[in-house]
Amino acid sequence: MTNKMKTNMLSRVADGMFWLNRYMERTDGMLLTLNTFYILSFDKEMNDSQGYRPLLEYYTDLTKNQIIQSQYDSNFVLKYIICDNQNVNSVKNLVRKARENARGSQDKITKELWEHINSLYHYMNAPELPRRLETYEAVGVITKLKNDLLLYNGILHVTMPRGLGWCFSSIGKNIERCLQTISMTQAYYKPINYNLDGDEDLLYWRRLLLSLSGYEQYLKSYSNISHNRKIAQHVVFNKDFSHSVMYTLELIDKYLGYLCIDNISPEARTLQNQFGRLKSMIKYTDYYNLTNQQLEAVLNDTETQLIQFSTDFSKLFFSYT
Amino acid sequence: MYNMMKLIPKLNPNGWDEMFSSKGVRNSYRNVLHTLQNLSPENIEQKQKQASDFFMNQGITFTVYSDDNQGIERIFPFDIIPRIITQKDWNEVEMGIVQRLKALNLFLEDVYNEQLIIKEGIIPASLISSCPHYIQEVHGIKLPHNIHIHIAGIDLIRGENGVFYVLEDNLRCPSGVSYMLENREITKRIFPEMLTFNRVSMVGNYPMVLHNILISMSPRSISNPNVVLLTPGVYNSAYYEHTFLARQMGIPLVEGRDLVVNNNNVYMKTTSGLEQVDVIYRRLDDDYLDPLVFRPDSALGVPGLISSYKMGNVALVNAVGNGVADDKAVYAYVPDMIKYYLNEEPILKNVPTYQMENKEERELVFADMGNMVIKETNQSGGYGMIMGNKATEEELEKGKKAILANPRNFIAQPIIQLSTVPCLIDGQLKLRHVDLRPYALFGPDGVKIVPGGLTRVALTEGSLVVNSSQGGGSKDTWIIE
Repeated sequence: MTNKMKTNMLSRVADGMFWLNRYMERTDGMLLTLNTFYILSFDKEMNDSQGYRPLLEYYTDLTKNQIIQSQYDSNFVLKYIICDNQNVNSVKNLVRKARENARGSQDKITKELWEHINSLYHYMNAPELPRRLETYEAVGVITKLKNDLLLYNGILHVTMPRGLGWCFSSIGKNIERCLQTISMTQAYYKPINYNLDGDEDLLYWRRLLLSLSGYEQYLKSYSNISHNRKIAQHVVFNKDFSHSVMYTLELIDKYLGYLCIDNISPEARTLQNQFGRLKSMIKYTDYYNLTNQQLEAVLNDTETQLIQFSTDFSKLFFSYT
Repeated sequence: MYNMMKLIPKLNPNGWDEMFSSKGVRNSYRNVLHTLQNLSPENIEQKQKQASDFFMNQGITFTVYSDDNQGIERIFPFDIIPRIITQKDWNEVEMGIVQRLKALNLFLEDVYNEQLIIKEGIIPASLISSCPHYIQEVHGIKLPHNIHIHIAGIDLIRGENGVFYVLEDNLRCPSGVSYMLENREITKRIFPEMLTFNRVSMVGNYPMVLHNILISMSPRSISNPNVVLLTPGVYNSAYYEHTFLARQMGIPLVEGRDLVVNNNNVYMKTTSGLEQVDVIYRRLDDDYLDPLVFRPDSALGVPGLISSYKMGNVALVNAVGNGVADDKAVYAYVPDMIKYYLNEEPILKNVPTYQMENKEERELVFADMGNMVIKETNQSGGYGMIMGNKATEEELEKGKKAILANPRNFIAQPIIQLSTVPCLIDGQLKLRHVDLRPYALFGPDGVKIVPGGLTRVALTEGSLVVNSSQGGGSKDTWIIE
């Protein structure tokens, strides 16, 4: 890819592609989580102490009290997450923001990708959508949206050229995905005090795994006992799981390397070193002998450092104003 | 069978309809009408929906804001029945536009240099000096290949006798070419057999011709000059067109904030630093280009751009200052320009135009306001226009007062019954007035016009105002043998 790659693009457009993919990835993760929780909410036998709380805590700015009041209220959650204008992170608002970024970089994204984002935007703005979420059609709406996000990723992969725009898109997507995985993981370990030797059953962890598209892979890869430590191994350290912290950091590292190949500035070198340290923290953690406190610290530190990296990355490549 | 012939609308005996004459359907439309006759109402509805979906999915929309500030996107109306011009008529249009553009370009070269046309008394000096679009700052400028008007949209109408007239020249940032191209794309999808059967001339090479002209304007003799398209941004009503053209030509779409002038060269801000720009196809009016020279409050332009341009370090397309040639008061002198510069008779006629600065002409107009259209000389898009036959007494009086307060700012023209073309409205053929904007490209090899143009339709019954900003729609335009 790098041999023929053009060595620069407009900073504003690179910024637009980065955020387009952050917003779309956030939408994707949020819909996957919503779908998981919504479908599981029909299982009355399930011992569910959290309801929609992990979803509401990470993806919305509702207060603690509001979350407690609404964590089992599917009608409210569906509308609030999907199409509430007041929720800055509703699917409707995220798609609008993604489309704005796509418009600003329209000459660098493919026609197919633009048309898909655009048609999703129009679907989200249909006046009858909130009413449909109150009816039996809600499942159909969520399924359609989830499939649209899958299709987005497919179109992105099949049509977009592997140049600079691809690198910025991929870094944006994987920063977002990594942060989602960390936050959702924290949401399930925190209530059990990060107890890696506990005996929570698969029903407990299923919600997390399904929200990260990692349930089937987990079942195939690990034995069916003592899940607490294996779940951490899977969602944080597994290099073959596409939503794991390690996997997403590897991809960020790869594309950062491409971007910095011809950039000999000290700022670029500093940024690469900064990211190298972050990745090493995960890479060289001995997860077989990890303590509860270490898991909590690794997750917290990775989250903090990744947010800082995202800020510094933007300063280096997008400082056009 | 759904016999649409039965629905043929009553013709206006004083007007020119392009599909029907008093003897029946014209030859050029025979095949199209035949196809339409064989469509069921369901077919027609489905084709109209297909066209609407196409425009909506492409994002060819404008936004209407409601009370809760939630924007609703609407498409510009597209009528699926094409407007057809025969090759014979087109040849005349083409020759007329080539002639007119050559003269207008020579006028701009002259008026920003020796000003011979003023010195020889062909055009009054006061007309030029009072024109707000005459840009003193670029006086004496020398441009690559002496070309000022690289892209022109010439608005034509067909009068009662079928003769083409020039209504106005758009020589600054003419828009709408993407509609010409997209209208054809949708017609290919909804009437593929009709296009093939009628052997319609191609318009799709417009972006390639334009790209070659842009490259040829580069001040640096390098194999791969940096050409960019400068847009005011995503909130501009023509933003779709800007992205469309940038994508079709494979050039970066930049905003003012993406560019910076350093040492009188223009650079774009990239992820690896600054990169020099050679040619800017700007879709930004002169006033907004450079806050150091024009409007100081413009956040859309680039400080120092005009200085770089005057030094010949960057080319701007179209050139700065073209507004003096498409001023509605200067328009009346274009036939004189053609005679003066080319020693030829104009091929395309002007609509008779009365200068409101001239007392005799003004009184003539005031005495017959009901049959006149009053236009502001520095407005476009149908803004600032009074249609005498539709205006109330109060509006006419207000117009007179405005004219008397600043006569240079107005011209008047007799209301001409624009030709009609049938449109499909509520499943029926209904006559609506149209105009035509062909797009001409002027490069080192001369003027090229893609065979076609944008046909704009006044969708309201009896209306003569076709501008999209005033509720107009559009049609695909076919040139056929």
